[in-house]
Amino acid sequence: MTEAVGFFRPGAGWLHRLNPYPKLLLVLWGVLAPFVLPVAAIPALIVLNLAVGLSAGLGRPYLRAAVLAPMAVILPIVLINGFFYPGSHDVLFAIGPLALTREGLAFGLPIAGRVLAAFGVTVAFVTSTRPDDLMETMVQRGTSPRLAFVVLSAIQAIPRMLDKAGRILEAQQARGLAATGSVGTRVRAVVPLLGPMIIGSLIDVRERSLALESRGFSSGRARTAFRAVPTRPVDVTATRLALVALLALPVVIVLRIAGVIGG
Amino acid sequence: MDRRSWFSMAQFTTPTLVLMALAIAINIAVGNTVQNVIKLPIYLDSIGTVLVGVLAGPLAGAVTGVLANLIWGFTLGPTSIAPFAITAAFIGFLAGVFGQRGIFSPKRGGMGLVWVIVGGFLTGVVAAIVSAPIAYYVFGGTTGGGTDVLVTIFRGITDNVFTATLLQGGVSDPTDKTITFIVTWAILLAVPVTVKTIFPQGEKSV
Repeated sequence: MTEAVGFFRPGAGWLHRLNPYPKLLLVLWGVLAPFVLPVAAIPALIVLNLAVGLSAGLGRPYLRAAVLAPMAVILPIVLINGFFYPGSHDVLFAIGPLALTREGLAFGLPIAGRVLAAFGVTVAFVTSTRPDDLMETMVQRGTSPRLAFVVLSAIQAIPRMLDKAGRILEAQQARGLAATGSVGTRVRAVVPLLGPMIIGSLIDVRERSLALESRGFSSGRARTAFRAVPTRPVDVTATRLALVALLALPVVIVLRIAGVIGG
Repeated sequence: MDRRSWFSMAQFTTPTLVLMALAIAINIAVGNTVQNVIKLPIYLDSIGTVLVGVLAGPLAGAVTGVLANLIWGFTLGPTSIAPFAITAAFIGFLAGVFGQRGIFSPKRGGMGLVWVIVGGFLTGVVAAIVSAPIAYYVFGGTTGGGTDVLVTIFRGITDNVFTATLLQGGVSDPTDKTITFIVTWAILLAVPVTVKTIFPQGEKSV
């Protein structure tokens, strides 16, 4: 039985020890804040992110996922807006027919910054939180155990399913399926890949449902948990802080609309 | 058709929950394989969502869509897909409504395929309309995928970034969802009746 760990990396830093519930609230804040706070706050949020990730000892995998990986999204945002912003004329410099414009950068850079900030927060969260601990905490707080089951067994099934997709594709190619070439050829390669995957999964469902039912899945009785997630006094304080920070965001929105805070 | 049943919790039977988990994994595995291995300029990351909608019902489809987009970041690392959870909810819900109308039933024969194409196209139009504001406000229109080429082309035609984003979605989404619906239809034709009918809305696709 594989464990549902997903993107989680073991560690012993303070972020790993923080209870998943306040951590989830803080992530929610961290994802919303770059879009709510003024543009001037974005660099500070990015620095805060890096400080959190590095002080928590998330190390190299965190930096790779939080800084390098988002470049695939951020570079197109900066470049496409910088060079192809409709109606822009303030050219900073030109390479042949392409011109980098001030309007394009003014539009693209804040967006890129926001995306980078939001990415960093989610990376720190998923690398430091075990999905099963997160769902256990949510169930303690009233989330349906049936929802927790769906989330965790999906996370468990993903590596298996990715592996299966790769194997089916290779098997079909060995039988003469063309998965490279023109777009038409590649579109036709999709059905021989999907057929075995989906039909196999559907046929599995009956067996798995029976197995679950015979173990009291629908009994509705209170469950005991295999993994205990402690709530320490510092977690309670963190939860309160996170709630205050979250409630402050709508206030910022109102103040920005009223024009009290610029930018 | 009873509209109240669209939101009925009776859709969440044990087989539905098991299927939802597998469907989320199918979305992610197929989406990832199609985009990175077969390298097609379409997403094909909502096959599982459509499947749950058709077999279990609109609400189950919507929940599957939302969870799939959120869980994606939890396993393969964060991507730009999470904000589009709202779009995924609409896709799963509409697939459920079309499934309830029986468009995926093999009894309809050739006319069935016509309805499947219409259903997929309409779902894609709705997906494009829901996605455009998200893509515009969160990402400024470019999301780092193969569709960025289209955005760039449309920016040359229109003088408005939002219009370019909407046009890109208007091309990509109906194409993608029509293909998704056709593929789901073709696969469901090969699924035994006894397997379909263990799901709450399964008998509509028999």
